[in-house]
Amino acid sequence: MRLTGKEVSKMKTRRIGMLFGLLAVFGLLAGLLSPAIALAATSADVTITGTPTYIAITGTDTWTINLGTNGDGKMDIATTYYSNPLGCNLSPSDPVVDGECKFTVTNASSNVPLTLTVNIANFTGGDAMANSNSGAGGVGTYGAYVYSTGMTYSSGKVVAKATGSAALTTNFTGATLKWGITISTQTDEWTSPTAETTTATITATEYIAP
Amino acid sequence: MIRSTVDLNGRFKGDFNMKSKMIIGSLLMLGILFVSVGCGGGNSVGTPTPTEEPIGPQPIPTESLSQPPMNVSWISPGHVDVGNFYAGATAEYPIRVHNGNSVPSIFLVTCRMPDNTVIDYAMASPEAIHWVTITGAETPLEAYETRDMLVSLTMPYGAVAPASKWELWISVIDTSQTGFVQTEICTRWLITME
Repeated sequence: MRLTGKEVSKMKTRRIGMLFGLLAVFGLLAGLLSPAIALAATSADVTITGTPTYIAITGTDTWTINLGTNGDGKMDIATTYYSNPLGCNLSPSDPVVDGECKFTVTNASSNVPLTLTVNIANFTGGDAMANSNSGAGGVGTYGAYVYSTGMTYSSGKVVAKATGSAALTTNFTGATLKWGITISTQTDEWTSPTAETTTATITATEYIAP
Repeated sequence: MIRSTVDLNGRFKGDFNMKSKMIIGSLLMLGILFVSVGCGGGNSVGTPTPTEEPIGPQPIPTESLSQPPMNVSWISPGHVDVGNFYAGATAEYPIRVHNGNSVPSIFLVTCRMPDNTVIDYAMASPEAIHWVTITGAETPLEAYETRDMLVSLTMPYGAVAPASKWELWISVIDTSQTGFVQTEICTRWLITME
């Protein structure tokens, strides 16, 4: 049977209509199904895992900075003090040796390497020096560094900030670490005779290799 | 060559093979459509539909945990990995805290900004720190007591993640410590966004 041009055109129009109808049905189905499928996929995606490890350190200690350069037992301004058992005015060697470190942190963690970080808060009481977070003392501020045995002190000491210090050591797996602190006092005159205090916090976290 | 004709009503009058192919083709198209919707549904949506139930809490695996010391305070786990996280989702995981003191002590458990991060991970934003809640965050522990405290991270709808990979710390401090040097132990939470 032969078709006229008009009939062929009519037939094509119907076929296009059927095609659009089919696409509309597909679109409707997709719209109805997609939320459920997305929900299922999302709920299965979030993953949470913890490592079977524990972290434990000990190492509380005290340090009283009272060896003034003039021997009066008080802190002087614009002076650097070292927690060096050999002398508060003695800079540690390059490299630092155990005998120059006052503090000891003991690692009692499971078989996991640690990152150790030290933050030193602002002083309270008296002149209440704030941590300059730069390592250097300034007007109303003090600077602090931390160091550990084996470190090249002159180039390797780490700025101890009030928060957000860089790591003192990473990938630490030893049983103990000897370490120390350097504090440079404020450069302006004291305004208060009252003693001021602060706290150094050594923080242990799991070291995760890149 | 496919033999086919059409009648005046536009109905297809091909042979049986052609009709079968059309039906099979339609079914294939439907299948492909369903698969593509299913695969792309979770990824193509900017803010995916959250789950009704939070993920977790998950048990702390202990099978390979060596014996922790009784007389030293410790926490577990060392780090928590959260994967495929998104705005609106909740991730929960307990932190186990042990009091190694021979007397009751208060342990302060808080969420804080990291001092330093794992390579490729960004610092949590100050806002993100507030997405964390901890049950029993300041609870006295009896001598040598071990207790789990649930850490829950909920990212609000519409919130912006600090980065595609970011990190926060869960800090544990024994408040009975005195002296100039004190210790803190932290669990890293490493969050990877979807």
